[in-house]
Parts: sequence; C-alpha cells; structure tokens
Amino acid sequence: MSFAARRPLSWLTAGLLAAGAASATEKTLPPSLTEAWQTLSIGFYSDASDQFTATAKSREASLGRALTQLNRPPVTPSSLAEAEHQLAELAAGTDITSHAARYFLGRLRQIHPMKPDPAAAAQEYEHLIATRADDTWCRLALVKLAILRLTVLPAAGSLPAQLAAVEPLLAHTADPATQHDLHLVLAEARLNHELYDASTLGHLRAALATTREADTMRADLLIQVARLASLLGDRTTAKEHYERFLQDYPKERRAFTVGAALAHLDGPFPP
Amino acid sequence: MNRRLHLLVALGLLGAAYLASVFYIVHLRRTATNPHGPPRLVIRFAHWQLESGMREAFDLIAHRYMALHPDVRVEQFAVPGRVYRQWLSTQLAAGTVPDLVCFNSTDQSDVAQLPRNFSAITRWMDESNPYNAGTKLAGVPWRLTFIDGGRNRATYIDQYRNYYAVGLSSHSMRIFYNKDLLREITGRDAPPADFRSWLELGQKVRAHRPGLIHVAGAHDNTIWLMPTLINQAMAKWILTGDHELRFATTGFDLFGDMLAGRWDLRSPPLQTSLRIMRAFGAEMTPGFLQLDRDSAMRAFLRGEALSLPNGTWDYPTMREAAKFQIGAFRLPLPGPDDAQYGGYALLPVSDGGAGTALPLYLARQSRHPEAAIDFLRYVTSMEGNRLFSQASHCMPSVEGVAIAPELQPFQQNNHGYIITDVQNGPQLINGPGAAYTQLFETNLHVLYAPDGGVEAYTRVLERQIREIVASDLRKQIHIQRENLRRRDTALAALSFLGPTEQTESVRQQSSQHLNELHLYLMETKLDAAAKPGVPGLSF
Repeated sequence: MSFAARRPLSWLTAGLLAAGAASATEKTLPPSLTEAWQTLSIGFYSDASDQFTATAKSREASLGRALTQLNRPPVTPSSLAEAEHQLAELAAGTDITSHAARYFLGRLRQIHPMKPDPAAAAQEYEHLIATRADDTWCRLALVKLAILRLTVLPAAGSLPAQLAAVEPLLAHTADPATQHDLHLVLAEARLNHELYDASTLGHLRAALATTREADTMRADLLIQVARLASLLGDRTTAKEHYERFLQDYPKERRAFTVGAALAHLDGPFPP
Repeated sequence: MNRRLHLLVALGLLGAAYLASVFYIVHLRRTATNPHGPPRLVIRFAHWQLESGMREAFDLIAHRYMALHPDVRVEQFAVPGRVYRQWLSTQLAAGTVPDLVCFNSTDQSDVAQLPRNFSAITRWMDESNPYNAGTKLAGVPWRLTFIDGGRNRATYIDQYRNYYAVGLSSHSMRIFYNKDLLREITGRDAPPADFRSWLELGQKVRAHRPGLIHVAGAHDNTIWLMPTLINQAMAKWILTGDHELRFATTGFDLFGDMLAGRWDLRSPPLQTSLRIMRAFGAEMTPGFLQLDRDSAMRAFLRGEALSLPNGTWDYPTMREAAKFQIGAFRLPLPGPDDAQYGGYALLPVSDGGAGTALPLYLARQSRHPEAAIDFLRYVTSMEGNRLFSQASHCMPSVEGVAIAPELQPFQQNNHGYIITDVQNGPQLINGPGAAYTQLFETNLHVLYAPDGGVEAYTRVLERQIREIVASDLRKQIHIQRENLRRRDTALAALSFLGPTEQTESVRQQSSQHLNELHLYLMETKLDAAAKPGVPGLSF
C-alpha cells in the first residue's frame, strides 16, 4: 500500500488519539470548589464529599468536607466526632473559614447530637461574636445566640432575664438583614409569651421596615403590626397596615379576615 | 469481472433500497407528526390522575401546545396512584425522571427532600405569563394569576420561602346529592340552607322510603370531611390560640395551649365539636366506619342514598356513571344561636383555603427547564386552563377562567374567614400527628354506637390524649430539627457561591431562624408540662 493510500488512515488514527486524549483530560479534570458547594447545596453529601476531596487542598475544601460529614449517612456519634475534630482544627485560624468552622462547631453542638448542648453552642457563638468581625458567620451566630437566650438559656421561665440578654445583641451588627432577623425573633418570642406592648410593636415595625417588598414574610408582619397596634389602641397604625395588606395582597387567603378586622376596628374582633 | 459487476449491482441496489426506505420513514414521520421537521426537544410530565377524562384532558392540552410549538413534543406518563411513589423514587434515582412531576409535598420528610429533587420556580413566578397576552391577565406576575396567588402548602414551601409548583385545577369538598330524589322527597331540588334544616332533611329521607339513606357514608369520606367541618365550626375558638397575631393559628399554638392547661376535651368548644361529629355520623349509612369510599359511591349512584360527601375530583367519574342529575352544596355550619351545635363558627367561612390542586413540579434533572416552564405557562394561561378545565370537568386554577355551569357549585368560596396556618394549621380531629389521629379514629365506634355517645367517647379519649399530643409534638419537633440540619449545610453551601445564591441564603435563613425559635418554644412548653406536679402527665 502506498503512502498516499495510508495517509487518510494515519490522519484518522491521529484524530482518534487526539480525541481520546482530550476526553481523558476532560475526565481527569478535578471538580472545582464551586461544583462541590453546588452539590452540597442540593444535599448530595457523598458526592460533595468526593468532590471536596478531589479539589486542590485548601482550608475551604476542608471546611466543605467537614460540613458534608455532618449529614452524610450514616450519621453516627463517631462520624460527628470526626466532623467536630475537623471543624475544631479549622476554627483555630483567624480567617473567614475559621469563622465558618466555629459557627458550625456551635451548630454541631446545638442541633446534631442526640443530646444537644445549647450552653456549649452558645459559647461558640459568643466566641465568634467577640471577634467583632461583622461577617456572614458572626451575623448568623448573633441570631442563633439570640434564639438560645430567648428559649433555653440561662433557663426557661425567666422571661425578663432572657429578653434583657438579647436586646444588647442588636448593637453588635450594622447589617440590615441581621438586624431584621434579630428584631423578628425578639418580636416573635414576645408575642408567643403574649407580651402585647409597645416594645413588641417596635420590634415588629423595625422588622417590617427592613423586609423587602416582594418577601412573603411581609404579609405576616403587616397583619401583626396592625393587630398589635389595634390591641394597644393605635387605630391609625392598625388601619394603615390593614389597608396596606389588602392593597398589596388582595388574593392572600387571609384577605377576607383582614377586611373584616378593618371593618371592626371600633369594636371587638372577631365580632 | 462479470461476477464482480453483479456484486456491485447487487450492493448498489441494496444501498438504494436502504436509502429509499430511510427517506420514506423520515418523510412519513415528518408529515404524520410534524411537518416542520423532527422535534427539537421532548418534554415529559408525570401524574397519577387516572380519573375519567383526565388523561384525555392532558392529551388535549399537550396537542394544543405542540400545535403552537411544532419543534416540541410533549409526552404524558399516567402512573397509577398505588405505585406512583415507588415509580417516582426509581425514576429519581435512575436519573430518568420526567421534566414535570405531580408530587405530594405535605409529608414533612418529602418536604425535606424537595430542594434535592425539584427546582424552585420563584424567578419565573414573578414574571408575567406570555400566553396571557391580550387577556385581562396580561402583564400580571404569573403567581398572581392563580386563584390563591400561587400559594398553598403544595406550591409554596414556607420553609424555603420559594415557589416550587403550579396547580392546574382546584378542588373542594362538597355534599353531592341526587337532585331527582330530593325533588321526589321535598318537592324542590334546592339543598338545605342551614345545619338544622339539613338534620330535618335526614328525618324526611328516612320516612320517605324504608332503607333509604340520607348520606352515603364511608370511613374515608368521613375522615376527609370531618376535620374541615369541625375546624370551621370552631374557628372563633381556634383563633384564641393565635398568640403571634397572624390570623393563622398553628398546631403548635393550639396544642401548646392544651398542654398548658388552657383547654381539654371537657371544654365547651370541644364538647360542641363532638356533638357535631355525632350528629353528622347519625345521618350516614349504619356501620359506615367499615365501608370504603367506593361502596359509598356505588350506593349513591344506585339511588340507595340521597347524598355523598366527596371531593370534586371524583365528579367526572360520578357524572359519567349517574343516571340522575347531580347537585352539590357545602354542608351548612350551625348558626350562632344554635345552643347544641353552634356558637363557635366565624361566618361566612372560607372553603378552607385549599388553593389549587394537581401541582406540577420542575425536576432538577430536567434537561429543558425553560421549555418545561413554558409548557406549564401555557397550561395555566387563560386559554390553556380553560381547555383543561372543560375537558377534565375540573375547576380551573386560574383567576377569571370561565367556569362551566355544571361546575359552578364546586367553585371555591374564598370570601370568608380562614384563621389557620397554611403549612401547619391545627386540625382538632387530625391533631398534631399520627398517634392523635389514630386515637380519634380507632375509637369513633364509641361515639357512633347506639349505647355510646359524646360522654362515652370523651371518657375514652381523655385517658390518653395529653400524653399522645405531647408525643406527637415531640415527633414533629424531631422531624423539623432533621430538616433544619439538612438546610443548615445547604444554606452554608449557597453562601460560598455567587451573589444570587448568597442573597437567597440570607433570605432563607430568616425563616430558618423563625422555625428554630418555634421548635424551642414548643419544646419549652413540653418540658414545662412534663414537670412533676402537673396532673396526668408523664412524658
């Protein structure tokens, strides 16, 4: 066979080899951290763990692996202990990864074990807040600490002390979303204990002021402000918020009830 | 040479025949299904609605959509309800799940898996539906085109603060009745207007013909209708549990009050509820607790019973089988002056905010999410939803879609009071969990027995009810905490992605915080109720 006859075959062979090589390269490309976080965000813990392991070594990848460990079945005391060990190592630093790790050390102690330890969780949150870094993890720690103090710390049943321990947390952040969440949990806890007073109304109004127009939580807050204002005798505020609700959420399932409450502002409701 | 020539000719003929047949098949398929060429993509959807006319309605809508989009093929998978769950799990695991899936999201553990399997559709819901161009819904955000604003416990998941599905139809619970028979008994075909008239009608029915039943009863129908009826009849009292002032009492609120000693089975509203249940049962087929819904429906269709409590989803089937005219009405609630049964309702009452039905979710595995959403938009446009409603004999889910006269009595009445939470509303009969429901259901015979009644039923229930409420609530807390754990890491992961995901993470954290706060508040109440010295409690 002449060279000319063989040439197409050699080109074809070369092409196939190149395609094979490209494909192999593609297959061996390690997943990126972004891919791994995306996998974790939809709850594929084992896959996410493999992806974090396959990425280049970094503190962020180690954090990702530790977080997958929290939920990857089977969750056992030893798997949680391993996650705790990994998180504790990462928390020793001073960067944002260390803050995330400390936050999750708190979460691990608070919601993961069979016997949660809210006091130990609170200590982690307090440690984080003491850094005065107003980052994602410190902000979350503030709200989680507020929830613990409003319910189980120092001890259930001492409501005034619990409330007094939470109000000062508002001063620890300038972030509007965190301020919103703190006002929200304060208002909700006070309402749950039927503390229908001006202070509760203040927290509700503050939360409402920082709630986006499109947010579905806003419908609840409008009703809560209106009803509490009505209970406190502030008919103007009640009317304004009921009307705003009806204007913004005409198809909401509670629209009829709100309309009736508005119509009975001068008298008892329900009639 | 000759032999070689023959071989070449044979091979040539064979090749020509092959090419001709390929051309013929391709041409035939193109002209038969799509004159514009092969479909660019295929959208598949799955559901378990095998009632009469449903598959045909889905086919109709799919064909109409394909006529508008010749490059798209829409395929329907109608899977029997008995195997649907297993079928869906298999498809999800195999990565072969259809683009759009009918799914039941009311189960807490299902809700926990939801973001893993389905995509949030909030961003599309905020845009207008292009298929409504030229109608009165033109330019209106898609979510606001639905009769419930796109929000019910199946379509909007509060925990994730996102829309996940759209409903294609709407349903309600009604008392269906035999118009011809009612005319024969009372001389008119209008249903009773109040609870007392309804009870009197029962007496007339029994006097009219020996063996004739007022209400074709069955265990299933009773269990569906009774909780709604009792909740509606007790709305004014249930609202007293709304401590967070939302006009949306939750199960935690109401049953937390019970554990705090604010009410028990002997409280007047509860005793009234049990009297209503007893009166309702007395109108039904003797021994109805042993009957299933098919027996009840057959008795009604054979003319052995005047009426049948049922969901409107069964109307197409009944309509096809009945040899008489079918009417429907809402069971009237006892009036405020009714000393025996009334005093706790808030009138007028809403249908219960059931919202839309037949929710279709967008699978995460969908290869064509934009196209799947486009199909959903068509089905829920004014034109698409009208066609679907007409063909399926189901109520539409879209605002302003013309309702056929035969479906008018089924129209949801949302212009009334509703005071329970959409996600976690309390049900006096179904309670906060499975053990409570079982306690009520397994002892119903005591309530309905000739020698039983409200007092006997109360005595049986009150022996265990507080312990059972506590244990159900603890289970609920356990499940919700499990969800919190999963969402915690998911939201953390989002905060390591782009700005959009970070904003979403912050947004969802707010509802996580509230959920968590309520779990602790409930747990605190449970612990307080379990302290020594609280009578009758040991959990």
